[in-house]
Amino acid sequence: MQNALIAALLCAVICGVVGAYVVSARLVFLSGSVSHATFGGVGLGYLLGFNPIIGAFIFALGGASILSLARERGVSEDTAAGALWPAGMALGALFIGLSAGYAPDLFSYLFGNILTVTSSDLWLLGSVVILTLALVLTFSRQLFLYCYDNEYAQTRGINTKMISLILFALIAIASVALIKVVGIILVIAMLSMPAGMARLFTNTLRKTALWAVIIAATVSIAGLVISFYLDLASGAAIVVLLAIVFAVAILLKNILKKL
Amino acid sequence: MAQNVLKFNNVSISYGQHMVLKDVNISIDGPGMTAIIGPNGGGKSTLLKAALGLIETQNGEILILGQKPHKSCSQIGYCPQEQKHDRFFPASVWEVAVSGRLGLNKGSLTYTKEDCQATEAALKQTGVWHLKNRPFGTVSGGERQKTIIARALCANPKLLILDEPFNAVDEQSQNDLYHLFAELAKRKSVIIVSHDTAAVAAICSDVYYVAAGNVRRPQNLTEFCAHGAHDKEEQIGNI
Repeated sequence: MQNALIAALLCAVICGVVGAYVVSARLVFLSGSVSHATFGGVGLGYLLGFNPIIGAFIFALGGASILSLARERGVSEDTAAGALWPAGMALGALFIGLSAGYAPDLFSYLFGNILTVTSSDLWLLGSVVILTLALVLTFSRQLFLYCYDNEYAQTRGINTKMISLILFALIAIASVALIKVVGIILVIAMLSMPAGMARLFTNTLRKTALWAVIIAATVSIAGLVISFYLDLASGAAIVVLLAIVFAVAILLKNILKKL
Repeated sequence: MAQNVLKFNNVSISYGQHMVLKDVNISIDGPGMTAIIGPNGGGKSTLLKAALGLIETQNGEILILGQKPHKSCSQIGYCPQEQKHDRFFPASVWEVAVSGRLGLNKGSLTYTKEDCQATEAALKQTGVWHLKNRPFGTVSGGERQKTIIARALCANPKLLILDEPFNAVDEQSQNDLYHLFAELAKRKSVIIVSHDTAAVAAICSDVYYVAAGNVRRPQNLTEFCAHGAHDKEEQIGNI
């Protein structure tokens, strides 16, 4: 349980910071396709006998690079994301079908199981947190301008191809890091809902990220405790609790608007 | 002393098989104010994007202040059409304006004191300093336009390119902007792109007319501007 609580806090930092960019730049669908494409890598891991998380990481980076290139070359992002999403899932299903025998832990890759987080998982999550914060702090001004006004960023001499790759790499890394907590299918909930909630009450990217981290941490820990005592699936409990809190936040915002 | 700020030498641009600009020649000296006018879809935006280095040319050469477009980024202040921005993006007026300083202090991870001072001066010049902490999406159309102009000005550019700066702007803000541009044109080169001839005729000393991929320069500006848009082609033909 102690490992699970630490993992929830580390994941809150990742999904809050990356989610702020995902929500503000309207990249939710694209991020969903990257996270779902990781299933292809999990399947490849089962087929070839290596750690499925390494496969997920390779597929996430590959998918993110494809979307980044599509975005830079004027290909419809929606279409590219719509192709990547099912292609990754289908590849995963094919690879698992071709692999010999039973696929252990498959359910935990799809829906997460934060209670099985090990010490080495925590070190990995900690490294991802440091990498995410280092990239965001180093390129915060460029990421802001790229997300807000891509064309203007180019006129300021910013290497938008590199910034696009960094942004999508952040999404890919976050997607893989969150698999242990909520699973491939629910990753997008963690990237979109805390930041979406924070966005309701904040007006700058920095504040959105900060509040998204606080919301994600609070709800994740609450969901984890509830799932522990009620013997529920932890990832699903966290996401359902997030959805309920999000709905309440929207109602609250509307009530405050009318006052 | 006059300096050549923008030069197009036989520039042609096409999207696939469709030729958008054909053998275009332009030479603009500064300081001063130049208008690029013409009907929607005539090639104004393509011309602008080529000058900013956003699209490749098939033939010819473009020089901005004597250099290729991508090498002169730091000397250009660009003000895109206001409507292009996402009003719901979480950004304050200050954050939008100060982003115009990007690319100037490449060694720094944050905005420097010099960046902040230049941005403050630009926001004061455009009259929106008091709104610096307001969310950009909640200020009026005119105030957003003034913020975008401040973003272009804070880099202290030699050349200012304004794309449809009077769109979605109320009359009072239009008057403010006229005065600001006229003042700026005394020491900088200002290029205004617009489909509204009447709006720019009064303040520009030079006009280029872009239509159907061709760019022409009327000799008699007063007579040219006095005619309606549908007479422009005929007017150019008679010059």
